[in-house]
Amino acid sequence: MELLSTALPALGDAFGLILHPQQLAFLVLGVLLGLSVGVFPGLGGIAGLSLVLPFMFGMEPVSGLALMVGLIAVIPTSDTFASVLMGIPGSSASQATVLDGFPLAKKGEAARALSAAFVSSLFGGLLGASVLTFFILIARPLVLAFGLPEMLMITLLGLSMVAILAGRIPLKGVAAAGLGLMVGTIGEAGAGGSLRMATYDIPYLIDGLSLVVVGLGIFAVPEIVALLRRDQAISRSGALGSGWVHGIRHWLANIFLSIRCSIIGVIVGVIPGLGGSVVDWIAYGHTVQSAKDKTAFGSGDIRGVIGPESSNNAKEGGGLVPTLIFGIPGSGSMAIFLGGLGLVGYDAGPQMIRNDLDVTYTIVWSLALANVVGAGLCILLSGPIARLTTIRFTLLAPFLFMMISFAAFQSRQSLGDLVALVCVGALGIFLRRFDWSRPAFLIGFVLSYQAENFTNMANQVAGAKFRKGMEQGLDYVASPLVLGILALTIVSVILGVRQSKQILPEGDVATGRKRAPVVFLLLVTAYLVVAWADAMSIGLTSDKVFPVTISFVTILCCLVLLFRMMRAPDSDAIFADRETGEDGDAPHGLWASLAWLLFLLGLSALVGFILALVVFFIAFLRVRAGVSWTRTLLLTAAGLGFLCSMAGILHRDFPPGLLQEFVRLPWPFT
Amino acid sequence: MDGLDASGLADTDFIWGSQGATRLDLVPLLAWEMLGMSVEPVFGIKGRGDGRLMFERGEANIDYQTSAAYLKGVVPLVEQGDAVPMMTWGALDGDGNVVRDPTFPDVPSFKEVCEATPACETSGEAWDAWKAFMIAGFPAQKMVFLPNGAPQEAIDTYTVAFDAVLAREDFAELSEATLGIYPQMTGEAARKTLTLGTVVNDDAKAFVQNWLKERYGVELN
Repeated sequence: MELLSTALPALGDAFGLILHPQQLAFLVLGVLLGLSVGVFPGLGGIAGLSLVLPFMFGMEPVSGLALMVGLIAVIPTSDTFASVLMGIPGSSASQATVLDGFPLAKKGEAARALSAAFVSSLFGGLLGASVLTFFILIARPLVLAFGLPEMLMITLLGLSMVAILAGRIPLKGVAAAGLGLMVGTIGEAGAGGSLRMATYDIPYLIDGLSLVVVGLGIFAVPEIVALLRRDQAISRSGALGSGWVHGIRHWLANIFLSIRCSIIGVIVGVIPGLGGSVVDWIAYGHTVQSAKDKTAFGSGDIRGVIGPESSNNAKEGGGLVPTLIFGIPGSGSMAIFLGGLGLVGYDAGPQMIRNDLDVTYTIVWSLALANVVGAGLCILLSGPIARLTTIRFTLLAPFLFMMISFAAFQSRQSLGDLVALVCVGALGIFLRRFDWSRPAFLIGFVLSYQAENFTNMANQVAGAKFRKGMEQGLDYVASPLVLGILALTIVSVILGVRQSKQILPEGDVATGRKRAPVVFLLLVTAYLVVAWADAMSIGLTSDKVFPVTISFVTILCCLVLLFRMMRAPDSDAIFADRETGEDGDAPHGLWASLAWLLFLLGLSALVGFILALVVFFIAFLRVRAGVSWTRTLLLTAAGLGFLCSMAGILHRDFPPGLLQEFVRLPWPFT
Repeated sequence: MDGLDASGLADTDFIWGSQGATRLDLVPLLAWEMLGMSVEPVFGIKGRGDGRLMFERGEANIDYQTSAAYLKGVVPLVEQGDAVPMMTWGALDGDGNVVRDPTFPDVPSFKEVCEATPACETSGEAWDAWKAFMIAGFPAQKMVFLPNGAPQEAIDTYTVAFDAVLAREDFAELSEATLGIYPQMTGEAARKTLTLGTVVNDDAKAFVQNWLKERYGVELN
């Protein structure tokens, strides 16, 4: 009750503080900025907040907070557009939304999928804000209860979702996850800094591959190429389907799912150190596990949109808990938020909650209001924007190539980003073609760093505790929380293994010839063997154990698969190959379509991104799309104008090429 | 600890969350080792904030923070009795000597503790190496650089702007809360600190390379 008597008056005061025309105007401004930045894949809270940060100093605190929170709060709402309509994961928090959202768009039900997603986002956001209200007063001991063993267990719970998303051949899913884990170890090891599958001669690889690039490469590139080959609209029927009222009805019918996933989002958000990128996968895995009829998942089940979208907005409210009470940022955008908070005169930490609870609570109100305004705007816009799915895809493709290249470039601001995008994209194309679970790969990749480092660190701390005494050690590694999450993980694996055969996370795939799938498997195995040998050559045990173990287990999986392939007839599901089915019948070839992306990349390396884009747009629209010169020039101008104005406002540069080494050019050609 | 003598800590097993032996964390690792303490670093955390959380969770029992984070996050812990300050790394006076940190006049510097501890020496190659890396890591840590080839005009504009910020009447007050009481510098003074922080003599470098290899198996080449 004391909780209520502290919280409620402050909450009322805060409402009074925020309910001024000026503060509301800043909130709406923040929401509008957040929406426009978030729609762009690859740009998120960091880009948006950096834009407003210069104006923070000396601003009235509540206005400043409203501006920043409004911006952050709607990013996981607006990134849904790209995930659902284009199959491009708008940010790391909406990767799982692609799995069912994009098939819905292909079925011509984009408007329904979008509105269901936005209502779920709204609900998740509101739940996150209300949890933040009370949790912030009592969360300190709860957050501190999550030590390294607990975080390791949550990481394993995340990995257990592989079981249910593994696809028709569970072993292939495990191998895909293993490959993802191995790709995640590329670069400098967290513990001792040894290099894995990298050299100092290629500085780009030292930091490893970024999640944005891998997400785009694994999901967006294969889908764009596949659609481009077919040369139709995204929506196969050319229709838009029923409108937003339907989406809201779907959400109402699944309200309990939405509540559960929002709670998952809040909990994962509250734990510092996990990062937001697993939350949508855990929510998606839970959605599939808890559904009765699982047959439609992966080919357009609305529940597959509601689950992850409820969780990723709720995560923002949860994520503010450790940020505000410990002053420790959980993500890049939270770090900038803390900086902005300092600029308006507040330092996050226990004293802020004790002394300035009313100001702290304006953050809660801003979060809630921003979610309402943001989701409302998005729902209004979803109808018109969903029309994009009825346009002939070949006309959209150059814009999408432009957007994913620009998005990938945001991760490290180097031409290496584009090279990495193409390489990971090629891997994604093959994973898709041979029906290796892409979600499993991505879950492995996302959790690789945490899995390795939490294991090392928990092991080391536990060793020290055990040296002090058996009881201390056991208290540490077998806390009630650890055991509870362990039980959840076991249940999740058992359910997953029992049910996975009913679920085809990426639809049905034809089988046919044996050779191509075998060659791909051999290539994967070869990479793993090289990675294993590379890891064996590392001197430091702490940097070596994880890649050696994972690659060994994954190689075993591959060998068993190979053995099964030798005995199975070519109609067996193990030989899934999209080229023998739908993709093979497409009017355009795989390589010819991928070559366009390579063309853009190669040209960028020579003359820089913007000049390359001009040539690429004109060549693509004239040669591939065969449209008239007038339309070609109009579309080219529209694409470049849009990109340049967006980048200009956000002070973004473009990848330079060889030309820029010799000639000084004005922005945007630099 | 007995007064400033850290010998009494030699029997305690310390655990410490660290970002890696080759990072800024080299300075505390070397300092504790010089004092004869046994501190086991748990490598792999992402930032000092994570280290503080490990300390607060009881997984680690020793830690260090930058001044700003200490003022915000650790002072409440000290007030509650959950943490005890041991020493600061110290600050530099005008002649390059290590002196007490002006932000924490009541806390001894590592130099004082080292002098009072029989196992520790404030001369010799270990001390020289520690001091060289301390200067690189702390007083010269946060500098503003412009891209190579920036015109003199731009450099001057930035210098004038920073000087104007430093000349604000309320600067001392504003910076005390966020940075602690430290002199901020531009122009020639900043360039001098840059040299102090980036030039490490060969003996100190060799000592640290050898120590990292023997103690942590890290090879630098």
